[in-house]
Amino acid sequence: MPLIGLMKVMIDFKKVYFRYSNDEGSPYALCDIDLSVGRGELAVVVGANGSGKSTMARLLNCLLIPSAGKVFIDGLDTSDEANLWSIRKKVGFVFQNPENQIVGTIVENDAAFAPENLGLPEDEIERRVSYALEAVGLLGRREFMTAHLSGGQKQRLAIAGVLAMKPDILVLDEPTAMLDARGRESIIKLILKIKNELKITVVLITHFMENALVGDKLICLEKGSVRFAGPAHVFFMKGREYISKFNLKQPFGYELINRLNESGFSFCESDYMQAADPEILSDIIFRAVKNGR
Amino acid sequence: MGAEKTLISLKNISFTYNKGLPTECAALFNVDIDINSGEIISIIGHTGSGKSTLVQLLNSQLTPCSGEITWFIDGIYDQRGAAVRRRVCASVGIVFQYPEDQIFEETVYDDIAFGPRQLGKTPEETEKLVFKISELMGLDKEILYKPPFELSGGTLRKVAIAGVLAMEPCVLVLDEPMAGLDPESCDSFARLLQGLRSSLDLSIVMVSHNLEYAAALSDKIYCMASGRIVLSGTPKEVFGDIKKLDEYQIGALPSAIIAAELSAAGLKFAQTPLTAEELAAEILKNYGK
Repeated sequence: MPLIGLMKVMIDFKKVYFRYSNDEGSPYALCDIDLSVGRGELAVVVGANGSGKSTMARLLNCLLIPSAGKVFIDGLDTSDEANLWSIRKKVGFVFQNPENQIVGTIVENDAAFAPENLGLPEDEIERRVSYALEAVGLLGRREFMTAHLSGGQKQRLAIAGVLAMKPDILVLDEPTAMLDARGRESIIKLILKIKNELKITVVLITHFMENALVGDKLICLEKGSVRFAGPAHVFFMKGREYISKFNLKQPFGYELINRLNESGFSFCESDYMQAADPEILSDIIFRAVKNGR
Repeated sequence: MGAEKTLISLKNISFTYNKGLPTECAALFNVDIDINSGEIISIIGHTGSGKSTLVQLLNSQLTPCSGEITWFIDGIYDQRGAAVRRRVCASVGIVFQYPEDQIFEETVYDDIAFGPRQLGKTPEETEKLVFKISELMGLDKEILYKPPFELSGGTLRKVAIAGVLAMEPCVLVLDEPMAGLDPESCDSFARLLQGLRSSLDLSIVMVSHNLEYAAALSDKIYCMASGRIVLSGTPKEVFGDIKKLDEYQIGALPSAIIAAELSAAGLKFAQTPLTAEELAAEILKNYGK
């Protein structure tokens, strides 16, 4: 089993190519992807519309199989059909719109859908439903109708439905696109909790640059190729022009520091790393201004 | 601004779903809004605050339980003075979330032409409209004859909006138009909306969770909470009131939060900065050179 440092590798892409049509000359949606994500890591994937993010996600649970190269999930080859069901049990998916993913009329029935279909005994189903609803903070609403939940609560229920399968990897494809600021914040907190407390490996696809800062690793895709893989602050410190090449933007705090540095301030890497919190950022700026930059 | 004319006026509007039934649920209370010609208006507020109910009142999909809604648009009322719902629907175009899901015709052209054909336009008029609107939306002529499913998400959204614009509305209502677009596409979409406003003299009402674009685009912002309008004004007025935004859990702009912190610490700000660029400029002005 390969390791990153001392971490076990959960997701491993080896020279992966993918195209939707096998016709000669048709374009590749993904091109020569080499990357790995360790157990318990939170990897954030960013990139323009059509850059290959969702294609990459679909390769993780055998919805798609590479045209060339290999994807390994916890050491299992996704192109080997014998591995299909064990991989699908390991990799849980949450999509943009929770409405498409909620099947039950009552909260606890919806969360029980997956364990029921895995054919688990009744007491184990009950344990898993409680575990999953507790994790997303909906235990107190287990008897509510799903139609009466807010957008953020629905998204949390969709995540609970996946957690009830006890996956090793959770893939979220733009889970906050439909939510208001408060809902976005609650989902991001939940994702961090899932990573930290449940030790689940998380892949988060997002267009919200502020959300991209919470990961252990940032992966930027452009036209199907990985253009950057590493710490998010290193990526966003590269400057506005570099970031905008990928149809992306710096998070607010990074843009502010970047602009102030262009006008003669000299904020450094550690300042950037704290830039996500407006209060800390105000402090940093105030001190810099008082000390003559 | 003096010459602007009111197109839709909502006075003291209240709305309750399933009124009189055990399941009745009050959604709007005493809402007053004027929508003027050529204005871009944003409605913000968290989920469940009544935004979508309000939007459906604008084109008479819902009728208020009390209060009065008046359309100052030619030809909307019949001889007895009753609003003709068909005409309201054509004059106030609504683009729902993920409008690309509403595309159903075999070619892009047919999809855009669907509305005008239903309105009884001749094939020549329809063709003229389709060409005019797709040019405004930045859609290449060659894609008009393609099946919509070959297009990218951003382009599909433009096609869907073109379909609504082809009905020649004077008010365009958009529910979460930026959701799911990458940051650069959001920017170009914002520019597109500004362009439509001036080239078609269109009023635009936008429901959005994206406060940055609401701030950047709008002439006026209405904040909703629990079915009421709790704060309204220009972007600078609204986003300057951090206390109220926080009270109603609407969320504040980081630039405004930092400006407030810094002015509490002794910096001077002539106005509420809405972007990182404006904030950086204000900071430099204070301690300049």
